[in-house]
Amino acid sequence: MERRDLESAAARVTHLRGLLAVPLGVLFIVTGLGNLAWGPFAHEWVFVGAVALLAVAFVLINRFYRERYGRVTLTSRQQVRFTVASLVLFGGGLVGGSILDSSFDTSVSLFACSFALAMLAWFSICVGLRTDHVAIWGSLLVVGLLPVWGDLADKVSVAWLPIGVATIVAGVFDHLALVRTFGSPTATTQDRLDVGA
Amino acid sequence: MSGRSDEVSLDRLVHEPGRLAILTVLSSTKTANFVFLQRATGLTKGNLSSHLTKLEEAGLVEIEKTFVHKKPNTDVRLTPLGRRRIAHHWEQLERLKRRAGDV
Repeated sequence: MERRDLESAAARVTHLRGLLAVPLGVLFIVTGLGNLAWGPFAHEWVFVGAVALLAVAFVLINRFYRERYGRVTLTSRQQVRFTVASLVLFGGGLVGGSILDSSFDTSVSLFACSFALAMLAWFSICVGLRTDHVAIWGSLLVVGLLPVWGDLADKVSVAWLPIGVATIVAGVFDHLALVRTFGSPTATTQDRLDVGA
Repeated sequence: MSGRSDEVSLDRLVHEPGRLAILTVLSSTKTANFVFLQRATGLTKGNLSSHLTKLEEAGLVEIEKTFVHKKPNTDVRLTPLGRRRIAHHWEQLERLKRRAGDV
């Protein structure tokens, strides 16, 4: 490995734990369906139950990554950069986008568009933009720009659905990038059991 | 290791590829555990363990052993000396590279 690869290993292992994005993406979809009162999601307890299940899934996936790929704490500088980027871009993408969409009567989804742009910026800052990121978030941007959103009664809630799908797909691709770089999570389990120095 | 100020000298302890990889990975972390270091450096358990012992003896890393979820866990962090030595070593390597480019 090159110096740059070694120096960025900690950040990549931290940010490429893409399966963590799967429960997050499902949460986005559940939020959209809950807001639209679609099928069983019309009941509040279904939404609460789904959130609880997703939280458990998140904890289990996080434990899986820690056991298979190890624990690492980034330097304070990297942590600050990651936290600020996440707060500004996620906050801007989610809150700002939904406010814009509720405030302006347009035929496009400003929510989906702003989230797609925010995610492109987040990935380029935190992980480094890859082709699959451009394809996935670019597709969301295109979906958001389609002039079909004007007829929808609650376009913010509907926009949660493609946002959720894009989040899940991006997470799977990140996980595959992690496996390509740091090896399969299962192949060398025995060999990777901690013995210490 | 002494001489003219522009002379390039390499730290043998740090220059060994396995130890150079470990120290470089650790230089961008506060702390990392054994499993992560194995993943990041591609070293075997035995090799990693032996390099860490040498680095700990030289005062370049600190090692802390704990149990996490009833499993043994080894956390490793660079000491201030380790951080200085790896930064200096890369500076020296860059200087060598520039010098080779000048020739």
